[in-house]
Amino acid sequence: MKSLYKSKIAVMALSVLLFTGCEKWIDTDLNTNPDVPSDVPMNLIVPSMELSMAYQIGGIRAVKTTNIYMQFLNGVARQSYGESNYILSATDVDDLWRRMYYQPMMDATRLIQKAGEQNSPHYAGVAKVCMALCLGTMTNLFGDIPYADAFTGDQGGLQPEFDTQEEIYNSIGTLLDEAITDLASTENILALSGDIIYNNNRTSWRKAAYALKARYALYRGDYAGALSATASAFSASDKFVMAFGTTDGEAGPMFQYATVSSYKNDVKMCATFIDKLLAVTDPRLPFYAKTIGGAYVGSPAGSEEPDASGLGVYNNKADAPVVLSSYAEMQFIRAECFLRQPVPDADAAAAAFKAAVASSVLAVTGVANTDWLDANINIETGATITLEKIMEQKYLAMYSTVVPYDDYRRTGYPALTPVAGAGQIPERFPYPQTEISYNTNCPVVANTSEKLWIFD
Amino acid sequence: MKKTLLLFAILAFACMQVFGQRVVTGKVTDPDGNPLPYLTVSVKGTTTGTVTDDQGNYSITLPAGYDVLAFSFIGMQPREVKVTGNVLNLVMQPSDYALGDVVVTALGITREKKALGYTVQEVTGTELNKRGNSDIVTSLAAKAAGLQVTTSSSNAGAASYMTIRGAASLTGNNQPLFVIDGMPMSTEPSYRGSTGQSGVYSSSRSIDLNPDDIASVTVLKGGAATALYGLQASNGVIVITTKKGPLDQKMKVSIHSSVGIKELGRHIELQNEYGQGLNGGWRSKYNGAWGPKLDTCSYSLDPALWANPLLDVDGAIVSNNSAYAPTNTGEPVRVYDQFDFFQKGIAYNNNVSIEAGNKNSSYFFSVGNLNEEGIVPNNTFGRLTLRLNADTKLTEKITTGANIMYARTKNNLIREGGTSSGIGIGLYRTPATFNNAAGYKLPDGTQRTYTGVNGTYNNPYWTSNEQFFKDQNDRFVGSTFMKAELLDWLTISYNIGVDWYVRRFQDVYNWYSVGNREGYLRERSEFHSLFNSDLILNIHRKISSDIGFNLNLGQNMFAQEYKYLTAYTDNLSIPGLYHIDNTTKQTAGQGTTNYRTAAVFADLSVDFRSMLYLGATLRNEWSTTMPKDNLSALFPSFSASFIFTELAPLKESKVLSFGKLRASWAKTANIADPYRTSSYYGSGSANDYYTSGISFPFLGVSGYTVGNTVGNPDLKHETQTAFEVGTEMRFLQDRLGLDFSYFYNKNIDLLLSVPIAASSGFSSAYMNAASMESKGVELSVYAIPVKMGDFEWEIRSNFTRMRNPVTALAKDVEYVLLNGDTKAQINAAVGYDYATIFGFDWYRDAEGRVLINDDPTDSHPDGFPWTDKTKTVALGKVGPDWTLNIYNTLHYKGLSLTALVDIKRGGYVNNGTRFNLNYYGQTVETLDRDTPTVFEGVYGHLDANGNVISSGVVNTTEVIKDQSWYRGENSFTSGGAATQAVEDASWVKLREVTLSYMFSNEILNKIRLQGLELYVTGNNLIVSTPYKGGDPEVSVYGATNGQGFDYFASPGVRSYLFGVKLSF
Repeated sequence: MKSLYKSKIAVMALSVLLFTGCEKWIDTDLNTNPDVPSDVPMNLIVPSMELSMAYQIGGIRAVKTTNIYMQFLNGVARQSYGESNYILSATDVDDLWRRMYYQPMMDATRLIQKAGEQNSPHYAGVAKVCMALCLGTMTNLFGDIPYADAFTGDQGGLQPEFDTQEEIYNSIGTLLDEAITDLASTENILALSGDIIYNNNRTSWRKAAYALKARYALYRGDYAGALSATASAFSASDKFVMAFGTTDGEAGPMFQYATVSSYKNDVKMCATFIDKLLAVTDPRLPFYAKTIGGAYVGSPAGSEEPDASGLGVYNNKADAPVVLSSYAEMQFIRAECFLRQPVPDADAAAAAFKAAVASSVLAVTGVANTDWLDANINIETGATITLEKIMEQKYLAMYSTVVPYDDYRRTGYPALTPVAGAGQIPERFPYPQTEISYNTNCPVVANTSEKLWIFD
Repeated sequence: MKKTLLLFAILAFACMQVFGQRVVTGKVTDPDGNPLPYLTVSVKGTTTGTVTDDQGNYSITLPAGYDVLAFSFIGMQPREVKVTGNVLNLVMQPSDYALGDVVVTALGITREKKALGYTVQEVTGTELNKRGNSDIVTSLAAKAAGLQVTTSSSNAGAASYMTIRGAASLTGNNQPLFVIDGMPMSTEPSYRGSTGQSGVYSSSRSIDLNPDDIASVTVLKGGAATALYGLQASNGVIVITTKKGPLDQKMKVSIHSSVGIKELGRHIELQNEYGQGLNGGWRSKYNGAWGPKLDTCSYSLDPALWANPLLDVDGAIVSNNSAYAPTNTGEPVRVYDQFDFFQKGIAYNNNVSIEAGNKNSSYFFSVGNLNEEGIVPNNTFGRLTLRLNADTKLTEKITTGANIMYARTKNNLIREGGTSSGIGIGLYRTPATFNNAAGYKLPDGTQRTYTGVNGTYNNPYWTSNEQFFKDQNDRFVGSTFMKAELLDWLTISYNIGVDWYVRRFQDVYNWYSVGNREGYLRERSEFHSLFNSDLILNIHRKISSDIGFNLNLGQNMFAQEYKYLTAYTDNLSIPGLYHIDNTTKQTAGQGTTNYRTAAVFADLSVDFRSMLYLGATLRNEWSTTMPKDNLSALFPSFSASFIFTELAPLKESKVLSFGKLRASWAKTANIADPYRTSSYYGSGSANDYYTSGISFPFLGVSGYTVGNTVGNPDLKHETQTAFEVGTEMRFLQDRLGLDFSYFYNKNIDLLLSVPIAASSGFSSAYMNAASMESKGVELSVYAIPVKMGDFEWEIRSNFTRMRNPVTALAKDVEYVLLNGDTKAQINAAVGYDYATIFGFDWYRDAEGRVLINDDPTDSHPDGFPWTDKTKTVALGKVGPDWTLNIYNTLHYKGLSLTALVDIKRGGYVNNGTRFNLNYYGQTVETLDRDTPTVFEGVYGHLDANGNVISSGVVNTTEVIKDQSWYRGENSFTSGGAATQAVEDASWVKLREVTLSYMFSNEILNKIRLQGLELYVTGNNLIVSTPYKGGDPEVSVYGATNGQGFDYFASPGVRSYLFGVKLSF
């Protein structure tokens, strides 16, 4: 009986111990993830926003696909072969759309909000320039897209309304104007830091803002606005690029695709592009393309011909930068504006045209190539310059960006022969499958040969 | 003289035994030392018989001339023993499929089976350990109703996936909880090497268990069965009881050794009539087999044509009719069977166990060692296990014990599946004219592939020699218990244990591997720990002679901690040196998952005249993963069991020996994953579908991005209400038995990361967003159709028919993607069964007939169907309509033959492998490339508004399905109709056949052994299926919810096992 008594006491003690431990045991602080921060300073968001933006805008879906459409490149196998025959599905474009919205654009939104709270408009300025570039790139591919109502998923806004393309363009204008003001603000608490594009140089960011203003004003047909913006944009020594590292894990997107990935043999240089460069022994050719069997050979647009030149070091090198805009683009914009403004100034157009090509040749090859320029480009005068010549040279200069696809849909230049039996060159991307599935506001696009508002 | 006397004495003794009548007494026990009451003991060849008493004792009179006693008991292997003395004590072994009267239920509480108001099904250890499967989950396949098992790959050590009564959670865990000797055990594969279709399928951690240590497995299916486990038990519970030593028995040593052989089984058929190239011409390095018809070709060694002798080792292939014919060697073109890559894998398994016991203590100790080689070269799995189970009675009233297990597993996995650096793609896509075996590495260290030097996909030999995934686990599971009988009617027990393991792996690619030109190395260490304690107070009383009750009051504490540290690099300075310092840049990372739960519970059962049993449980549980103001949840359950054969009119029935009706209702719940109540930032990255991209730190800078998932402070528990009714009946003195259940589970407030429109700035939101049901019937039948003398035929069969529809999803969410690619998706969609394949279909008319294009002005070729890319539609559900497995056992004396036939009806698999290989001209299907075909369908086209215009006229247009068809707009790579890939994956499998011989006691006594058994087992000997790929039991996504997807999965395997079990 005594031992039973002892056991009883022991059991009771044990029970008490266990039950009272409960309060501490269910420690709600345990449910805070120790591996990821709940908040981070702005200077750590900036690099992520910039890199993810450049990787998408200069990457596979934005550049590869539109450059296949534009016959710079030819997809010779699998999905890329489909693209060279204008087959692009709603699921194919998911990746670009999603990663743009929830990475750089969401990061920019958060930066703008934080910069406001922390009275640090310099951060807001950088974020607004990036947001404008993202919006411009996206709307030119997809038309109407969400913006004003977007980026509120954390407050329950799971199905944002779509803005019309006109509204998006208005927003781009506003963002860039605000950025120009913000970046020059003298009332700024936290100094800009973490910027991997311009190393925190606000003057450069203001130039970039003007450059984008020029680009999107041009697209709206606002030649005066575009011209005046170019005046405050880049000078000849300025760049607007994202630089990359030399290892595979820090390499730029086209190199990762065309050299590292298992899709590397799916895309070759297109005969249309190579033949244009070969015809004038363009000094940029050895940088744009590789040789095959000692020669530059393009794969005919829409064909499966795999025995053709691969992508050259211009974009297919680990540390090849992604070009977001350039002095050359500004000069091409000026040339076009001078020619198309209500009172054309052909001499100024020719001058800007020459400066544009010279800048591109220097940027691509590293040397001036004055002799070649003199023989092929500098022969143009106010009397001989045409929109077609400007657009043709802009096409050759803006390879590996989304700009030639914009220009083609805007101006019809350069004249490209669509792939036989594949229909017309698409005017736009389809809306992504996930947006169709998860956002009832997503418009229906009957076919991708409908012109977008901005290019109509 | 002495010898003669002795001989005489023996003879005299023997004669006495033969001619005289005598009384034999003894005690019969099960292997755990428990007495077996009411066991039939008979004298062979006579009608004399008796039964054992409550203590398992018997006494029987042997008539003169008879000396063999037969012992039989339901659920035990029948024994016949020649009597040599007057005392015969016997230990009976459980038979395959024990129909034991006592079963282990939740929290290890043993119950009379007839008292249960819910279904439990038992599988004995002997059924699991003669299969030769390293993972016991694989051996559970087709062994119990309602249980579905898939092994993701034939690789040694590959992950297994199991569900009980369908899926209960949408995107969370759907696999049951494993409880081993009272300790919940972590079984999930914690890291799959890579996501998506690529990579290796690391073992499910149930592989750490040695099947030889297992005494029995109880499958707890319904909510009422699992309610006492509370959280995480809504997927059912697998209760595993390991072997214990017997009380009062001398030391017994058991040895079990086996050798297994695995060989290539069912696989997709590849064509070998056309060579590498396109447009009917041979082309070196070309990624496709659209080249020349080989019987019209020969080799040319002319350097002008033979540009790549290192790749095309046999020469250039030229047509005998071409201009190049003069350079021909005239030698016919050789074709290579790419499946020659696979080898015969051998497995050696050795187990030694020692058991012994005295009056108060018992002891079981075992050592197991397994070394296994897969059919893929260099794929190996090894396991060493140690176990010690010991119990001691400290006093008459207090018992303590401990179960301790240590396991070390070593796995070398070879990357497989749908990745360009895996085995599958490189192997299946290689044209028959390319010899992969002629060297995978060129003299300069670069890779030789059919698409060139360092080509598009790995040479499979490269994959198995220059890449590997070395995985090592050290696991310790220990639990101790103390049980004190304070009063006759009051017992207290306390069980506390830890499950602790360290996992280390190394994931390696050498230089020139596809996707990792500069090599890749990942080192990762994981630390897992589970802690569990149960304190249970048991009160049992007989209130009157008719009514008794049993009450358990308990408290549970549970904690899980997990942490990993990892470092990786994607450029190795020195190729082939796999050290994390052998690089210019390493990236490190870590991760943590910690949570705890606590619960109090009560379990009451009342019985009335051994006829009516009523049960109720109540459990309240707190979890740290739930929001602060919603930490706890309460789950009740009720069950009833009515033994109607106890009613007077039926009691004496000769036909119906046992009959029971049962019903139960329960509510259980699942908690949220940890860290879901708030939003976070994540380390930044930039990548896309095609490239592995860049992770921060980038160029020496850190970067953070707004996390993609929206956290949710308003989470609720996932709730399951489970209802079940059933009956169990046995007839004709238990020669025939059946067990029928109908179940209906309703799962609401299911938690998931709902994919949301990215324009919200996020990719997913975690919320209570879905409802799902699972309902079905299960029927288990047991019969002994023939029992004549020494011969017995026993059948056990399980039938399951189940539907598992998704009934609701979050507002405006039509489906949730479980897994898939851009062609076909395994979705959870409202109104469809969980895991249904979605994708594009052909354009069809209103009657569902396929349209055959008759509009010469549109961009689609005439005479062919074309893909409706405007919407994805349901193309087939992954789950079967029904499954039936039949387990036959034939016994004749010591000889027994068992055969398990497994039938699955319905259920579809997306055969992305075949669909994709059509593009490359590799399947036998593409042999029709020169033959006119007429597509089944009716003529039609689309009008200007995209509406279907059907002529209703049956298509008769002959077309040629050539390269432009197989590679055109309807092909895999152009996102063509996935309906081309979705196939019926019904099967009839002869899943296992075992022939074994147990030596009789006469022989055993002569060779001084207690037991000797030889057996041979064959697995997957026959697979009959309409599926046009490999084994239809395939999952390229491994142990995930996205089953039913085949994309370059490994081929099936057949295996044979030869084993010997002996004890002394």
